[in-house]
Amino acid sequence: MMSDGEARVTGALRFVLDRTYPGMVHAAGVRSSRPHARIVSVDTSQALQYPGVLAVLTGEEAPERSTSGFRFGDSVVDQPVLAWDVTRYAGELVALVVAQRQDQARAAAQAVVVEYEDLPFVVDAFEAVQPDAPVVHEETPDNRCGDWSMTVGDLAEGWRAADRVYEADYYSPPASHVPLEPHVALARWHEGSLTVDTSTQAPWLVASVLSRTFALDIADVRVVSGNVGGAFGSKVDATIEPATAYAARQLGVPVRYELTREEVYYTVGKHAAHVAIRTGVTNDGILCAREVSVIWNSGAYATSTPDAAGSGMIRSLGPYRIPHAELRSVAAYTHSVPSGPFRGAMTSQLTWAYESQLDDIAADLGLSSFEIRRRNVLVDGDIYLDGKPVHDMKYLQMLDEMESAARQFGADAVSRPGAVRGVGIALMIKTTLTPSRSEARVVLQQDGTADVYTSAVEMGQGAVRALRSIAATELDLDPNDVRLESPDTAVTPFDSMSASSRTTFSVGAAIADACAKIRVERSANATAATEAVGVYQSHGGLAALKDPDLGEVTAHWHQGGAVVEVEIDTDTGRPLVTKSHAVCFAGRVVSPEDVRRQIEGCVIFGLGPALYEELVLEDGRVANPNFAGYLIPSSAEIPRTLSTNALEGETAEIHGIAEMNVPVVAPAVGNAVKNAIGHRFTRLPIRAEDIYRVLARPWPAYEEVE
Amino acid sequence: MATMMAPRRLVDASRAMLEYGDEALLMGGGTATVLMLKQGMVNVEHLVSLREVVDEEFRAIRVAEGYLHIGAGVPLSDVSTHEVIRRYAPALGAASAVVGNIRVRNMATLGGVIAESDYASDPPAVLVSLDAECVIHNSGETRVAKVEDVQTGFYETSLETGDVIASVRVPLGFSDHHQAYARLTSRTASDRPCTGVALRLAIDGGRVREAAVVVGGVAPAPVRLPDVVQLNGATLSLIEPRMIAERLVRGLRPISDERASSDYRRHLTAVLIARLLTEAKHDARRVVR
Repeated sequence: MMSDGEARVTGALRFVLDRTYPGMVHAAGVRSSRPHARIVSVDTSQALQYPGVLAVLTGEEAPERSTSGFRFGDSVVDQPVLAWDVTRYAGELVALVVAQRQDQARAAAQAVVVEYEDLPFVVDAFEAVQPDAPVVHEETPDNRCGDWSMTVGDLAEGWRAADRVYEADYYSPPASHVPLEPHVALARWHEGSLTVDTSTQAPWLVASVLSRTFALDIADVRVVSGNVGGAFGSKVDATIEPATAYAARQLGVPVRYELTREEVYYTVGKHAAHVAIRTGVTNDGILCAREVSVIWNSGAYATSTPDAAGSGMIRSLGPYRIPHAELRSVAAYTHSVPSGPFRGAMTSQLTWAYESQLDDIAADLGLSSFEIRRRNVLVDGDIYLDGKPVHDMKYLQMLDEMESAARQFGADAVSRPGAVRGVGIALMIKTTLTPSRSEARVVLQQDGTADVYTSAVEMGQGAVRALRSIAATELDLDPNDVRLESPDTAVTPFDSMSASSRTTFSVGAAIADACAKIRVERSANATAATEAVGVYQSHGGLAALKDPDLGEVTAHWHQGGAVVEVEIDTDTGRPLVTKSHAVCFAGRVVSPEDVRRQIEGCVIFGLGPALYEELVLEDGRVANPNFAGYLIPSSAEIPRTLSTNALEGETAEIHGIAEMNVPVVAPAVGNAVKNAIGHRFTRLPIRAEDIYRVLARPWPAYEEVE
Repeated sequence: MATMMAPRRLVDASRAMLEYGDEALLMGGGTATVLMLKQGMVNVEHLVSLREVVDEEFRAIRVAEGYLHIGAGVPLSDVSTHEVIRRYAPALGAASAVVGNIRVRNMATLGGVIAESDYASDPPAVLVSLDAECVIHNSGETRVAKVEDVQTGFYETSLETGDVIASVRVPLGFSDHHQAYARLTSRTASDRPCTGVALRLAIDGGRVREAAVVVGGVAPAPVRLPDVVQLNGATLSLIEPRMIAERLVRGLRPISDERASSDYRRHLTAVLIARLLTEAKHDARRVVR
């Protein structure tokens, strides 16, 4: 069975971006230029004169404002479909221009004149939780939209057991997902029911948000996704669908809204995070106490951040046996771009902190990076922070493999005289989305082929091939005889989302469940076309921390590790990751080629936030909303040695592998840089100029001149 | 939405520009223009595209009358690979080869690069180091101006309404000089240059007869480093590249931007100069052998 890779890179694959509706018109966004301001007036008169323009929609005039509130959101219904009265971040959608053609709408959008009265703003999450910080939402005067804490053991006892205590702060800046396909939505109404085609990872979540926003029964909302051209978490939460649906209803015609590249940067970003971490350790390098305090930048709206901050708290201890800990995780509203999950959500920011600190502790104790981890990583049977024993722990095996890979990196010559090298490692642990649900309907036809209906979204991760392969195995068919229906809430059954590395695992489990039922039916009647619905459902999640009877904190723990070699040009400070080996626990590998590509993709993707990517805010505005200012890794940055491995467990269930090797890249690179030049960076990205300043090594000739 | 016309003759393009004045923009390959239009940096009624221009002078690469002539409409991908350019102006080929990516180089033209006058561009520094000149048409009239006199600042040129760069010419006298170009990016390799250095050395019997060092990416327009005269008469095998590099950049006051601070840029420029001089020493040694 072929992957869609060739079609994807040659442009033959049709994306949601390629969809049209008959008779559709086009929307273009008018975006706020102020991080926090009163909207005094929106003058649409000029724009309305532009050719092709049908309407300019503003929040001020929306009839919903008196009924549903004209706001949407997943956890908190706080985001205006179109802003009115006040704008809470630079880049917020203030008005929508609708015209016959896209270029007409975009040209006219430039002519909408918005008058603002500036208000005080705060874009940093740490500043936002200080007592006198500007308030983002009146309903939340302390700017905290999520506040979680938990205690493991008895921290005071932990400190008493510690011979040494280490304390440090780490920072990850806001970043952007940069999906190549921008967000795009098409909406149309028919007799009070709404259909939206949208480039989303979570059609059922978007349908639910739309039903609440427009006070519709969920049965009257149909959300159609399809081939998504990259997402990385930026297409989980509803973003432009409510505004597009609103425009379609107001105009009574189908409306398409495709974001410009610039608007993508204003729509959703990665959570910036301050992580303060204090760790107690014995002289033998045994971790005995840890206190973590995280402040996540939610941006101007909550989206899924409040609960995500809770997930972050659970992931903040690291993959270690630490008997005593206090964990605190706060999500703060700020006047900046709303944050959403970013491949390996709420984990990279934490690994950057705890894996950087652990290497410093090891160095201080005279232990190797491998040795300190061997003494502390979770092994089967250890009681973890949820009070339950862990199983299928592969960290020791990962460390052995990483150490042997590091030896094989070898001693080939550096690429130019004077360059220095360092090797660094990192591990990670992550929960998966829990509770979550996936349903699958499988129809076995009389001709021996099968149709599989699920709401799994293909975005280049290989979901289609993996799921077809699972169905084929379960029904003993050739994978080419299995068809997978494209996600459409009118046709395909419920699925929480294609995110959190859960699709192959949970949708795959639902398919397997359906196939098992079919096998039973077929054993009774071998020729009948049979059909069955399968379900995967996990229970628990954050609530299970307080009440273990509710289920598990996570369906399983994601495990990953990486070892990298970084070469630094000491003349210029330029870092380059020359070699890497990444490993994760896959439970059971379904599609080896796709697994390898996913892990390679994780490493390459992770190099961005490690060395290059930051959404730069100047005076509260994004200063680099384009490819020239926001640099993502190119083929020249891909490590020359890029090896991977996915570990399996004999009795283990399938684990997703789409994210595990992202969060380890930045700390592994940071640790390698430390080993190369002796300096610890605590802020990402690690830029060439910063390294150069640390080296501050004047050329020998400098002093001799004159 | 701007209207677009694509005349087949340079003279018609020039006349159209004279007719439309400020309401029109002249477009070469469009790689810069399209970006500027998309980002709303320019707002014009008319685009006058040079894509269909057939004038031999605008398209050809040839050697005549003591010059290498390169049509202003030649795409950078051709500039970077053409045999004649590789022979007579190898540094120009090298600088053109690192612009953007192959898709950009297939569209962007040499004349367009000069007319855009983007400071973070590779070829201009080399053009200045080679004393390159623009042959400019305006409504049937022709004049010649040095590239360094055409590029006057950040996206600013001395070109007047109706001016169309027809070709670029490089004196053949430099073709046996040691020529080199190198750049550094401060972020990914696909970034625009943080600094780029063009080096030209006339070498006689192991001695430097004449030298030019021009730096791009560090100021509104390429900067000639004046102290390079110190190299004249030096024995190449005896020079200390780092020491010279440090001296040459002493007067340089680079800009600061998101790519690099001023003093880091100056340092990177010195690194490049030193590397290019070291390379020149090695090359000279190879030639002698």
